[in-house]
Amino acid sequence: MRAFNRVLSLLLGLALLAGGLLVAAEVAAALLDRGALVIPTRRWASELRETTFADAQVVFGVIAAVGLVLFVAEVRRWPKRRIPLADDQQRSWWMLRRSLEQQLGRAVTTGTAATGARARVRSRRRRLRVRLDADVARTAKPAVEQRAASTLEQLVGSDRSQIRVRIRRLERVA
Amino acid sequence: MDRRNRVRLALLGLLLFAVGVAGLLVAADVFDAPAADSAILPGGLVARWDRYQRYHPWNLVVVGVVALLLAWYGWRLARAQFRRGGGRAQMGDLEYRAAEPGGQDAGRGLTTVRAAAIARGTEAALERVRGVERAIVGLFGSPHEPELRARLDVDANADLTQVRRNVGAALERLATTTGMPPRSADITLRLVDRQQARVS
Repeated sequence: MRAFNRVLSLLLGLALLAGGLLVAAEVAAALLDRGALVIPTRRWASELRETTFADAQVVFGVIAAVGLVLFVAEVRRWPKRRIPLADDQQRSWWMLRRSLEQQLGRAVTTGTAATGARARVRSRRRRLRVRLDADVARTAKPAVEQRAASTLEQLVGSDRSQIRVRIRRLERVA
Repeated sequence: MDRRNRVRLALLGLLLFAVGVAGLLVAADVFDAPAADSAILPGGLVARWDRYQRYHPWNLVVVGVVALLLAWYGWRLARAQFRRGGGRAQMGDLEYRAAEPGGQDAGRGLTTVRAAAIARGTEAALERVRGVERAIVGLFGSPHEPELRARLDVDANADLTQVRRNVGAALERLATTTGMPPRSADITLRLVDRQQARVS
């Protein structure tokens, strides 16, 4: 979402830049009585004079929907990009959440019978909540939990996390 | 930067939503005026603008200035997307005035160390720490008390406590060498597999 916002802001900035320069050029041309350069203002104005609110209902609907989606996407709670590790003297240490999730998933698939695992880490204050979706037999759930806990302890320190394992797809024991 | 983008886009979304809903309400004839069958751009408004324009041509200049201001804002907005450091001011170059020991004349010379060189030196020092595969460093604020922000790609199998200790020691050595202790350091670790980091 952050990358999406950057791209959208970049496009917005470029549109404002191009539009602003174009309008300024049109104004200069109008002041010098050169007529319209690129923007057919007269034609657009006459089209807008002929279009009623009822005609443009669909357009207004689309604008409202796009605005609502954008607004909700921006104000909803986003998972934090970084997880706080420690503060010492004037240094603050963080870890990228996504890299921790990847390492947890990898540790579970390499160290247990799980054939696939996806971790989701959420941080609130200094506590971590980990949700692990694993492709594994139900009997192997404690092993998965233990593996995830030991990996977390190694990476972010002990006694900070609450781990919940969900079985995503049962792997049948042959 | 990310927070500003978010606020800006949320406001844009709200504005679009308000415009869309207002248009839909008018189209549904909820208000007495304008009515659903009235033009989006009233003819009277265009005629009034034309009349006004005839006697006050400088009005157009205001439109031009506003357009230029918008273009300038757009340029700043687009450029900000490529900047590191979340909108913080980049650190200036570090200057050391030459003075003979015990001498009075402090204006005999000036040594300038480029901020980019200090950042690159810090990156090289951090990459020498065992377990750190790659370092990206940004320095912000005053050159005499900068704010340091670093992202370190760290081998996921390394002892992270030891890595943090060694990184701290490397930063202290650097502060001693440059005479420039960072006011604060914000260090983000990204766990990587050793092989993956070596390949890239």
